[in-house]
Amino acid sequence: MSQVDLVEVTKTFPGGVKAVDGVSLTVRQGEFLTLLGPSGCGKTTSLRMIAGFEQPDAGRVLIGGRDVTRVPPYERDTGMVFQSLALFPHMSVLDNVLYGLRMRGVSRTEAERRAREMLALVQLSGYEHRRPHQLSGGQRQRVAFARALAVNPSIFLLDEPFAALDAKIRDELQVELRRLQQRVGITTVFVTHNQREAMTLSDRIAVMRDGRIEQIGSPQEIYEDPATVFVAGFVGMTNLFRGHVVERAGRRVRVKTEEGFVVEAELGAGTGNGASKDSAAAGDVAPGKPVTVSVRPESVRLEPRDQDARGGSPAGVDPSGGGQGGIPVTVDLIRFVGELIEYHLYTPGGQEIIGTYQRGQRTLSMGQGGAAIVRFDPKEARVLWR
Amino acid sequence: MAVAGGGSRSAKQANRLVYLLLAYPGGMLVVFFLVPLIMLVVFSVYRNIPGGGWETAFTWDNYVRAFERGLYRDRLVFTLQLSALTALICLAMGYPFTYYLARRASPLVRRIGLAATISTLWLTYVVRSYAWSVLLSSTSGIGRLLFWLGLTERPVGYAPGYVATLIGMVYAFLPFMILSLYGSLRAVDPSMEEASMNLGARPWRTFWHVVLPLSWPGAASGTLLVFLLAMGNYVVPSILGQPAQWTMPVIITNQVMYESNVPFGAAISVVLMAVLGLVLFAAGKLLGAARMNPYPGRRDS
Ligand SMILES: Nc1ncnc2c1ncn2[C@@H]1O[C@H](COP(=O)(O)OP(=O)(O)O)[C@@H](O)[C@H]1O
Ligand SMILES: [Mg+2]
Repeated sequence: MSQVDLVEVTKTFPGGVKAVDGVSLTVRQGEFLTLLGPSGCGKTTSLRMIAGFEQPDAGRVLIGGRDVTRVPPYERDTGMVFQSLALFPHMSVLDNVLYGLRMRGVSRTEAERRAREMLALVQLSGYEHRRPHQLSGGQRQRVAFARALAVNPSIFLLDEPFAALDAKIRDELQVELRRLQQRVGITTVFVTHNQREAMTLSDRIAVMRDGRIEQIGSPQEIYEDPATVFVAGFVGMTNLFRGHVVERAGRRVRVKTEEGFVVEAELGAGTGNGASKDSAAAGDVAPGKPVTVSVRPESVRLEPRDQDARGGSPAGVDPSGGGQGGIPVTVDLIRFVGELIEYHLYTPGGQEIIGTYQRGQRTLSMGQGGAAIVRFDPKEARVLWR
Repeated sequence: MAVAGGGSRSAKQANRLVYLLLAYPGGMLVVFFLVPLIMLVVFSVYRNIPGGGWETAFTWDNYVRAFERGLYRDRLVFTLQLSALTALICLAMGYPFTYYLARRASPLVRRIGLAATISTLWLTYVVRSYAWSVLLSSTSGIGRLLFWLGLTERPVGYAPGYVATLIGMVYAFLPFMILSLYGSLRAVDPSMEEASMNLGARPWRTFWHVVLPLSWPGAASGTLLVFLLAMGNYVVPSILGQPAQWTMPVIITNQVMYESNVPFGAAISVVLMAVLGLVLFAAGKLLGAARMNPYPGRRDS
């Protein structure tokens, strides 16, 4: 149980790919931290530098405060679950779990006691003498957990361990992983490109893009206060309106969208945290500056609108700005997605807006093809740099 | 009715097509394998007419001669020993080289190494064996080099002889060993090694406990392949060996080509095949058991 620090770590692969570009990150003791980002953004490379499989070109890696940048993987005391699992196919389940203990010179009897204990913890008692290929995908996953944790490592590392599993087993294992991690209380770095997985598992999420960290924060902070347009779009669904600042009063900002509608939104706490060069420093948001407003679908509120003659100015909306007129839309599609009702709406200029309601929360009179006005609470809308 | 009739006719046609398709490999098997084998067995019980030809007969004489004469038994034992030694040397030399090529070398070096390995197969055994006989003769090549380096007191000729035969055999069959190992060494996922190191195993222990057992099928089949190729080769020992290094294929060739004793040649061929069959069977058993339990002495599985 230790803290992990990456200090200004950079890694360029032969051929010139800058996989990790000046990443600094502290994983707190006992914390479950997720590296989240699209494929190719440098998550695996970052994880492999913690495990010692890649050497950074610059920067340092610290485990428990000790500089391990030049320490080989077999002396780093991390427990890793590989994307391919990498269970030893020529060994039984028990021998797989025993392996690390034996390599550390633990006596056979003691190692076996410990290995059986670990297998019991992941509910695989009775499977000791199976070979990996005789197990289901979920069981193999649990062997990989047991093998990595049996040696009592100080850091637990997981690289997209659930990518190959189907949704149901994935859900079960996510719960199991979280329970296991909390029971052992181990500092954990988890890599995924799946934002839902990151949201449900993590204490904190580091969102990565092009080898850099865009934002670090709790799932809630990341969702409610995205620091950049990229984060807003990558974590959860969002509606983005590009425009220019018209007026600003404190955190409250009035923005004229490219289609000419005026909307109000607020600067989030994340906006000014400077975690990324792209995040808006609060002081810079001034009239005339180009910005983007992000509104989550669940913050979109729909009101019915009388449909005027085509081409005319929609009733109740002042397209020249100046007020909280809302955005006129037509309803293109209504989808029932589990407990949500999802409205796909189009602005006069053709931009799609998505709004969601809890089922039964409210019934709208308008159906497909109907006219409506989109409004939202400025407190739930964020101003971001483009 | 019409539809049903049509359907069954097309089903019949499909059946005929399947038979036709099967006839091809089946025919190949019969023409190139079964017929020669039967002819070999049949000829082996014919009677030889000294001075030319043979006559139809049913006699065990050829087999009696093969087993009674110590000469043929010794040749068989020698052939088995030489082939086994060739296979083991090829394994010992081929493994480290192939390990490096398959798992450590850059893609460029890997391609060059493989190309070099395969290119040695472009020349026939005959040409390569003569090349070695020159290199290993006392008047040129390696013997002189060793003398010049002061390692021997006078230029030593190794060809023809046992050393030359062995070198020639190893050289001839090493590429097969390398190619056989290459596939299975490439197939070991690098994350296996990483997992091992992550669990605290140093590189040597990682090699010993993970890479070596996982590449074992390629090593076993390569060794068996080289052994069988060596058992069947007559070019290398007849060019690089003295009569003391002649293997069974050389003896058989001599019987058939120079002694014109086809029935006896056939009989010792049958004996050789029977012995090889036994060796293969035993090897199959051993390898099968090894695959079930690659860690001999462990109580799992
Ligand atoms: N061994 C390597 N050699 C060359 N380029 C690599 C290597 N590993 C990763 N990369 C490149 O580095 C970038 C980041 O890769 P990676 O860390 O695997 O991303 P992620 O895990 O986020 O998908 C990618 O562009 C990838 O192609
Ligand atoms: Mg990855």
